[in-house]
Amino acid sequence: MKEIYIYKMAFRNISRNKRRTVLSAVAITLAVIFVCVMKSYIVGFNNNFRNNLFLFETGHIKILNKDFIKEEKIMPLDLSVENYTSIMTDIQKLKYIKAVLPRTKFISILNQEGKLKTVSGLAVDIKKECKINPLKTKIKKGRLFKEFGYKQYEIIIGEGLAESLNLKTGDKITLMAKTAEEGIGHMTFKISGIFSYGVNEIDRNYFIIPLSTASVFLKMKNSVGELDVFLTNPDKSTITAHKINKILKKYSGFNIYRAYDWKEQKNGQYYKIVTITDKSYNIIYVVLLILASLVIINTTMMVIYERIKEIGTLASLGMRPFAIVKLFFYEALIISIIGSLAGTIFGGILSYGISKYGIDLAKLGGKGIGFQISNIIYPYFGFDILLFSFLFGVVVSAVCVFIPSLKAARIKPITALRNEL
Amino acid sequence: MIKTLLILSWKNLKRHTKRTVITSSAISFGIALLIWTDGLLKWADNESKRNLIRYEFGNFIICTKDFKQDKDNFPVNKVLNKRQINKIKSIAEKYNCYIAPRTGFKSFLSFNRNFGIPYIVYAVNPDLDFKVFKIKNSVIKGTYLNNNEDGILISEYCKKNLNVDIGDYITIETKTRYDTYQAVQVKITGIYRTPDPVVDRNQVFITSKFADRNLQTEGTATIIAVKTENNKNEPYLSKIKAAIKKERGLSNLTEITWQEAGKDYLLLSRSKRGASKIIIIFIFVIVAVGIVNTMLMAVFERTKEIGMLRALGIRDKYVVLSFIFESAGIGLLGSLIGVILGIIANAYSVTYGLDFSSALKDIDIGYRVGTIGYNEWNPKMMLGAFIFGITISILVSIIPARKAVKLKITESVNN
Amino acid sequence: MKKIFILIIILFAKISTAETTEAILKKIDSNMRYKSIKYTGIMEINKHHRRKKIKTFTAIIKGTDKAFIEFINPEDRGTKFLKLGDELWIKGAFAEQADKISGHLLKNSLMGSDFSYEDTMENESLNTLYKSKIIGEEKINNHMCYKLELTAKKKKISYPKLIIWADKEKYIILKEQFFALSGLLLKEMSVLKVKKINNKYIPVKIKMENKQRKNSYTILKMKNISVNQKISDRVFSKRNLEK
Repeated sequence: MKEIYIYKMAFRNISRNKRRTVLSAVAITLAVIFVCVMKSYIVGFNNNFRNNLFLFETGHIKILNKDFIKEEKIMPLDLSVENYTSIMTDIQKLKYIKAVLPRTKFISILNQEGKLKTVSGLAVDIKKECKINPLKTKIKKGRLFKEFGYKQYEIIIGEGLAESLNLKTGDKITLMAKTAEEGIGHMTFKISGIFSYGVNEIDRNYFIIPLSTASVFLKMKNSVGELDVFLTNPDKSTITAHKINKILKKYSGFNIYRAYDWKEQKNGQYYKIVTITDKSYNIIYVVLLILASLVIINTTMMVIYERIKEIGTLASLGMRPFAIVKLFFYEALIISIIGSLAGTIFGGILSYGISKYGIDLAKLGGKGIGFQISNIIYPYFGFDILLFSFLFGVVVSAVCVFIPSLKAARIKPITALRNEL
Repeated sequence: MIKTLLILSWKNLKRHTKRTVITSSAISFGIALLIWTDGLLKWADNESKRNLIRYEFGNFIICTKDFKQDKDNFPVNKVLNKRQINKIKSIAEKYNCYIAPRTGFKSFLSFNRNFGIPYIVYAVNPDLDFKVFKIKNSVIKGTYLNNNEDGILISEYCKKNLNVDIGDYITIETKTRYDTYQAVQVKITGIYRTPDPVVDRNQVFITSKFADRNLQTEGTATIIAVKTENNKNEPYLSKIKAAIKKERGLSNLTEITWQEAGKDYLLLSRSKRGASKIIIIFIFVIVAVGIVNTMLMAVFERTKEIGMLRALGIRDKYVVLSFIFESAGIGLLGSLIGVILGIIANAYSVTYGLDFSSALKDIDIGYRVGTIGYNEWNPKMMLGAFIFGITISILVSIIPARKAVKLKITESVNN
Repeated sequence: MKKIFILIIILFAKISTAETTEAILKKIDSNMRYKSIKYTGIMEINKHHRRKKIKTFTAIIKGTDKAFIEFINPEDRGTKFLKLGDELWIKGAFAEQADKISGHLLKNSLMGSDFSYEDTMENESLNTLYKSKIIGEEKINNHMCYKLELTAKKKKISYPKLIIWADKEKYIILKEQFFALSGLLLKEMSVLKVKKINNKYIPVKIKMENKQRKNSYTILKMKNISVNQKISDRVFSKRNLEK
């Protein structure tokens, strides 16, 4: 039988039983939408987790004074990275470097009505941070601190911390901290604003001040606690760390500086966590894919079995088995392409929508998520996901038509006519 | 009539075996997955909380009112004396609870006169402590504490931090109960590792006898941790509270539950549940889609049959009912098998769990979970999933069935 | 008869020795106390593997319970401390109000030196807190000293045992060892230079060593010393601190 004739038959069959066609197509569409949205969510979730880890904890590469790590529990600020500006200039020349952020993390004591409370602080260079850190957009109340030409040293505070300490914009607080010169830093700040990243670990624990203030407060004029390096391609972190270490040898003297790839930080624990999270979600993804496939398989198979009689009729009319398989295959292909296309379009719209709006995990699960996961996840919208979802729909339905239709085509016509299989 | 319909539906199901099997197996798989995933997530959620009880607080802590006010500073002079400890011990035993008296000293640990690192040194009674806290089970090298030997039990984190090992002598620098400076060398006799990073990063252990001799504790303790036999606070907490109130010598005491003590942590991790609820929602969605789709398919395929039944004189509403019964049947079969499969899968995971230990070795995640992931029983979800499966199947068949009977009989027969 | 006589002599000797020891300690105590003292202090702080740090401050001290200290070296300029009886207050250069240092914070070292806040806060005389016993005589820097072992009279005390070497002529401490409850040596103070000012012998160069850490010691030099001058109580006020 000529190819084109089989195609025409396929089309006619499809328009003949509209209900059946629509149901099949709808099943495929829904499954494809499901796969699309789910993958968006999972990729978004993993990205969110990684990004928070990089932004707040590890950077892609972290440069530290080698002796700092041994005593990191007490955060000795005199074991810092000195001459950091020239180190930054040298590093910026390397390939893959997106930004080098100088930062100092410190512990300070807040005296609130006689009760001493330990709080964490972070000092940043806001101009450099902007390349990577969306801090400016995360100020929920008040405004970012001013650095120069003002009367009062300013500070911004995380939303959760403000809540637990009962502080608001405009309040003054006095912090005490050990300086890099082993003296006592004692400074009164005005809270210029309250920030919220939507990550509880940060919002509930941190103050942020500009590095210029820290240089006075903590006596760190020419040094910072760490340099967090961000790359254009995070996968190049190991090679780049190696290159940075070569550069750092030049600065070794009294102090030794080392660059630590995020994968090796904290004995490789972060790397393990990220890998496990990725793996777990991949497993979940595959399982859900199977579920979605089942929907398609279910529908398609049922259609085949319902049409056994038809197959028998065609066979008894003289149609060759292979042609019959082709017929059913083309039918399924057309339906699945239409269904997948529709699914991809709707799925794309939906995932674009939630990628902009975000899924509020906090609302779903109570007051807070932990460990570097944001309260609101913005799923990932990407054409690679759309392409994959489309192919998924087509391939799965094509495959699950193939097998039963093969089987069907080998049956004797009389058996089929009698509607047995 | 109903009985006939039921038999008819049953026969129909048997007739279209393949369809019945395919549809119900899709339902079964979805429901089983739902139950198993929920069981795993429930375990993870509860495990974090259980670890707070196992490693940090027990079910609740008894201490003096003065101590509670200042507890973040570990005041070692706000104590319960020996008599009070014994009284509480007998009260607790009456209600089948275990107690562990402890005193925590804010100290610095140093090795070979190198830098000092801050840790809390807990003086514990090795004969009582292990019944409340799982530190003894967490020993990975060397031995747990015993009263016949002077030794210190440190965490693996501390071992790496100070670069020491079993047999090394480290110096504890602290102040005793009388505010006297003390520096005493003690041999490392054991190394432990718990799933709780707060414990591993901050706590090391010595015997209370050692503390009596070197830190002037004189048989006192600052806290008594209490563990109940079923891991729940009530009714034990109220009963013990009441018994304490009755005693005159115990009037300066108060209690802190693990929920209160672990408040900050609980607030932070109140739900990875949120992230996991999404997964459950996804599963619900796809299972629903699957059921809906299959049912619709089933109904529409049989428009001719429906027409014939009506032509035979069976009333419309009974036709609809028969379809509903059929769908219910498929839903019932699918859900039942799904629940059974789910229970079997859950049972396996409850007993054997999923072993992450090779991947999670040496790890210290931000939250307190161990290296083997088990499941927990959640009968509510099992029942819920079962009902869900059947309900969706029924609901989904109503509309198309009713639509089917709206056609003229002649049309439907000719379809 | 002879036996009783010998006994009485021994007893008498013991009593007189005891008295002598107490008297020695009392003399030392009084020599260490001034009605007032003003000086400029230079602290050189040395730690293992860290850069040497030098801190300069002016100190105004009245009696044993009032002190006002202001740091003038560039890294700590503007940091002021006020001791009033049992309370210690701090005001940093950039703070708008003073904060009290209390509780476990007092255990910390003063500006990273080997002196802790508590060391500077001690008001009571050695005689009140310790009972003493002469355990020998030694030469320190060519000065003959009594070697006294001091054991705490009460349980509640920071250092349960001290050994001091006191100059036999001048009755000032030339060397002091501080012990933990276990008997481990925690710190050792040595006086490297003594000056006579206004008829008082004042230690003007002191080394404090932390014996529980490698290479950890602080050297305190005192300059521009004036003793027993009249100082107004207004100096020792929170208002003065917060100026």
